[in-house]
Amino acid sequence: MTKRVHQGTAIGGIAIAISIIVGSLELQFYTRLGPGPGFFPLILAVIFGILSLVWLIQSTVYKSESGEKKFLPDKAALARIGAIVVSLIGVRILMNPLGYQLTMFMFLFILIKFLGKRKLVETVIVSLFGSVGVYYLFGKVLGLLLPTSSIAFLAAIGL
Amino acid sequence: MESFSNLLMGFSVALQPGNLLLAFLGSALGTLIGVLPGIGPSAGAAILIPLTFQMDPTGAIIMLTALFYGTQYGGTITSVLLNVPGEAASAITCLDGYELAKQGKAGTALSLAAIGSFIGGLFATICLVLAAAPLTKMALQFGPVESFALLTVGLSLVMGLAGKSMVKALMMGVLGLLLSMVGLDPVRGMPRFTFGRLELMEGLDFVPVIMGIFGLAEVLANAEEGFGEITLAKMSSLFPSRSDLKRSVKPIIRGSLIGTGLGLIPGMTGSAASFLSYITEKKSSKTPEKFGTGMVEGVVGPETANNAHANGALIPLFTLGIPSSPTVAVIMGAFMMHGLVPGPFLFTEHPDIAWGVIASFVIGNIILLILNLPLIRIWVKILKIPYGLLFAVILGFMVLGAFSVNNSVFDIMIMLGFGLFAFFMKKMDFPMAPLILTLILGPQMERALRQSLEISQGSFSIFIETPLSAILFVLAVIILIAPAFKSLRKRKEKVSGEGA
Amino acid sequence: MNCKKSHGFMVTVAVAALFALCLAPLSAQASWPAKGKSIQLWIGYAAGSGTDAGARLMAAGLEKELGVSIVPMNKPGASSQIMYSELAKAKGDGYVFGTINFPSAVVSYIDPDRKATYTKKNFDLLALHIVDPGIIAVLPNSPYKTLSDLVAAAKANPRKVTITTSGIQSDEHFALLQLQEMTGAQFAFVHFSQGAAAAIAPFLGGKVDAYTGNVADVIAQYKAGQVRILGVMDDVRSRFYPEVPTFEEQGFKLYNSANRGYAVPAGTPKAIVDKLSAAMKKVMESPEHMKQVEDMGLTLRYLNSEQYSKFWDDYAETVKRLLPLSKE
Repeated sequence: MTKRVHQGTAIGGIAIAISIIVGSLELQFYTRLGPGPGFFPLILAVIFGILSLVWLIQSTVYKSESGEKKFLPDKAALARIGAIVVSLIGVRILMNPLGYQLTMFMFLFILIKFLGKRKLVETVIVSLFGSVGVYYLFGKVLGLLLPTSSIAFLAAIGL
Repeated sequence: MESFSNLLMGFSVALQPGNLLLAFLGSALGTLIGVLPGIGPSAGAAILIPLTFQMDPTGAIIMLTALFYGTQYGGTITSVLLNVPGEAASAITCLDGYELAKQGKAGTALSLAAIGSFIGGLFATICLVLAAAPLTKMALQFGPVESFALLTVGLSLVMGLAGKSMVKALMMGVLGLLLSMVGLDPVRGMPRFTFGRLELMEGLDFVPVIMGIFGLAEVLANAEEGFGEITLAKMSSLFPSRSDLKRSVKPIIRGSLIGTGLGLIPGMTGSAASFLSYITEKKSSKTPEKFGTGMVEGVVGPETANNAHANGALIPLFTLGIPSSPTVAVIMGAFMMHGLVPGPFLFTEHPDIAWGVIASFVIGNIILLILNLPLIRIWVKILKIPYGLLFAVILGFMVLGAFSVNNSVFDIMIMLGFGLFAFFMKKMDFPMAPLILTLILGPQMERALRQSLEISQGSFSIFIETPLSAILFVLAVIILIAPAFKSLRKRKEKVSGEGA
Repeated sequence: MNCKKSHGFMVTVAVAALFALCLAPLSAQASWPAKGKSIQLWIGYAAGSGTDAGARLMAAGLEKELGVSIVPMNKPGASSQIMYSELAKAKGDGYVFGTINFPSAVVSYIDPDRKATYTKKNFDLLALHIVDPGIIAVLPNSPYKTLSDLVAAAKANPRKVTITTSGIQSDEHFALLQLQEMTGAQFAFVHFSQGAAAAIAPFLGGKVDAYTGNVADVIAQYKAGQVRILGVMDDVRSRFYPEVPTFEEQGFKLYNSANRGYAVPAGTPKAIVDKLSAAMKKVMESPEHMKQVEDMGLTLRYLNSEQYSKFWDDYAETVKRLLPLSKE
């Protein structure tokens, strides 16, 4: 299993190298004075491609040791990781429309309650501090404004 | 000696109660800003400057400079305890610092870092007092050509970061260089690999990237194992053992020299200083392969270097009025807004202010040491927080940090991307350090190369014709082939041993 | 009888409502800025930068003038292009305005490579605030004693005289291109995209022949006698360098400065634009503000909305002409 992953990633590396090479062909290779914008990306991408190839060969020839840990996380772990990833994407989407305080409150609440499995009171306190508390800390003390909601009525109540 | 009497005069100014208080305030705020990710010293200083308008100039400058070098003390704390770099220059401390924390030696790591930071800052200040003019003259020798050569030396040292697999380290190094090319290119000023996104026009922001690689990847790895099962080793003593202290002596010396030296050269950042210190320690160690598993030298060296760098960067400001980085430019702006012009003129026009501020560097570093050492007891309590709660706090912390660099949600996605990337790659034993180092050095190298060629109008011989550059290139070559000789010698010994 | 009456009543109400709707914006303008509301000032560069410092000073002054809170928000990235894009799309109700920097504002939409989503038409200009005239300097031991010496050397030895700029398409770059256009000289540009401050050290170290920057960049070095400023690219001598002649005095009609002003999204009612512009003028005339700006080594110069607009148009012409040269 691990071997396949290594090989797959190596092939991915080669693919990335090729796409960078293609991309840098559009850029000027050499200018009057020296290397142009496309010079280093091209050369480095070629080197990267060669190294990926070497790694592909290495991982194909490599004898897997017995007793190696499984590579991919099990279902439950995958769910936890996925939850974190989805939450972060959620923050990105909601931060500007909903404003910092609401977004971070939900973010922290969901993570602490459902992933961290902590008690409700604890969750609410920490979530409040991390959202509203930080907002005022940054705003009043440091003078750095964190986003407020772009939805009118939410902004009106100070969110 | 004249400097000495001037310094004494400076102390009389700096030790006035009002100025002492401001030094304390600046140090405390600096530490706090260092802990908070995303807010760097320049933003912190910029925010404080309007508040200083009512103050007298000496006090204002004392507070702002204390804030500036104080951030280097705070940045260590989150790096060691949470694997989240509070400051770009503290990123490398995560590698061994966090490992030490996992082994129950967080107190050791933090106190050694504080001690090293203190000595580094003090060393740079002593250089300022005793040898500012000659040092600055030396630093001015480093134009684009010499800088490129120096960076090449740094790049060749990256090879020394290879652990077990040379191929993997090289791949990460090359990838870092490729990533550093995103943005406007230094040759024609055209967008390169930005996929039409304006946010990428100035390149990948360093802070979201390292938050992803260090902080997020770690959280994801822990999430994989399950939140209940994270147990850190029981905390041993808060203070370093005698052997740890002994091991720290040489790294501190080396770190002070590297940090101050690079601080003098405009364009060399604190991150470059701390990273180069790390590589130097690894190369000077008898057990280089142990780096990354909790080597004390890997914490003390870089932490000393980044503080020496912060105080060292102020030297060109005082001697010539040159801001060696955008952050120092903010300090320079603060000077000017109070009607003071930094440079040699300051010493003749306002010697009390000039020497008062310099004396405050010494006092500030002492205050920071006193502030930080006892606080370690409190900081390490963070580790006792149940991980089910802590991980969310860390994530929130990082979201805030990544976002506040540019007030942009795009950076949150950058952090996510690099976090997933690092998580995946670490499972396959890819070292992250080469990637980060080349990401730092890459843009500077390409810029310096371009500037050198603009000066020489296309002729590469300028690198050989300039003496300092030629020497550095030879050094780079030596560093590259030295390991080959080492292994050759080892093989010879083996052969002769067997033959006997 | 009743129907007609109620019908008439309804019509009256409708007309009154329509009338009120038309008047509402007018009254909003008259009552702008509304008490308790805050106005956002979007700054296109990071906290701590030169633009940021000047803008925050203006914000503080405006707060006193207008009596409402002005909230500075940094929106850095792509030399303000990100902020300009957002500003162009924002509501022109007088509660948001942004910093405008030359040449980045102009270059960003004229240069097709930058793929800007706006042009000048998307903005209504408020006022010019700060100018920082360009200068050319050499070291005290340099063989070039005057501007003419430097230009003559560059003419005689094309692409041999090295001179710094603060980046490709920076204001210095365009200024030097204009100088080349006027005199036929050809310099060897060395671009320091990190900014003029990054160019000072190599210049002081003797790695380049000459330095181009702005007045505020070399005040420290001038005071210490470490530079010889050959000329100031303005129509009046700089207050900070009274002994330095202007380019104009030396026969080179070159005027260039890094300048910063403010704009609102297009469509903002003229009454609000005028009111805000007048408030800015008052701030710029207050002794407190004048001292703060002078301490930063900068020069105040007020242009009202129409004058600023013409200034922009003239500058855009220059940029359009020189842009292809700047990419070579």
